[in-house]
Amino acid sequence: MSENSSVRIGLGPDPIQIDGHVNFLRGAEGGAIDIFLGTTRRRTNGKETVLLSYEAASELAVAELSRLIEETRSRWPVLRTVVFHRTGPVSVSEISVFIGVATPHRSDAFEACRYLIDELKKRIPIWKQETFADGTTDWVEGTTPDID
Amino acid sequence: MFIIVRYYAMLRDVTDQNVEEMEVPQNCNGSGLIEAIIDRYPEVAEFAPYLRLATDTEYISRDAILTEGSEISIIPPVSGG
Repeated sequence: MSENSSVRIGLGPDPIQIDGHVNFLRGAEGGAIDIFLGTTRRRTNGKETVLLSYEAASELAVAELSRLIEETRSRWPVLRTVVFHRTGPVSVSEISVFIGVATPHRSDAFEACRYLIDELKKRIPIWKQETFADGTTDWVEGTTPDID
Repeated sequence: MFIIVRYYAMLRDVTDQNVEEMEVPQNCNGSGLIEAIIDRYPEVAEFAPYLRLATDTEYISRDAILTEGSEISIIPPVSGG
């Protein structure tokens, strides 16, 4: 985990502790907190998923998340940010990712939160493998990070 | 010279390696490293257009010149969230 007074970043196998993250996001200057939670869906393209398993290039992922959060803070007046992503197995309906931002006003919170999850999915080195009810597994087709 | 190469996700499955040493010519760049990997694992060719290279802390261009002992991660298309 990487944390300072305004940014908390984490990757790891433990279940997401929502209350602790919300407490970190709350503060007197803030007027809005927007939170996105990603959860494991049971059905994808007609196939039944029993769990997702996540793998990360951890050091690079934390460094890229730091850069993404700085970029977000340069575009919206974000007071505090939390990005936590699970690694390892995440069963159906469990939370795989927590994104939270605190801002003075709600429209910025919605936009900054959406930007973080959209960009995380495009460029942070994390991979998702589906395990289906019939026992087969498949790496989810992903997105090539745009670095140029 | 030798480069330390790390594989993730579907590339680890294809190569059956987490990390290995790869011999490449002096002044090899990122594209040259990918070619060396394809020489050893022809199945990697289908992924080649979609791969990124990275150090422990940042993505690097395929034009970047590699140095002896560099640790390079091969990043297939990402799918977090």
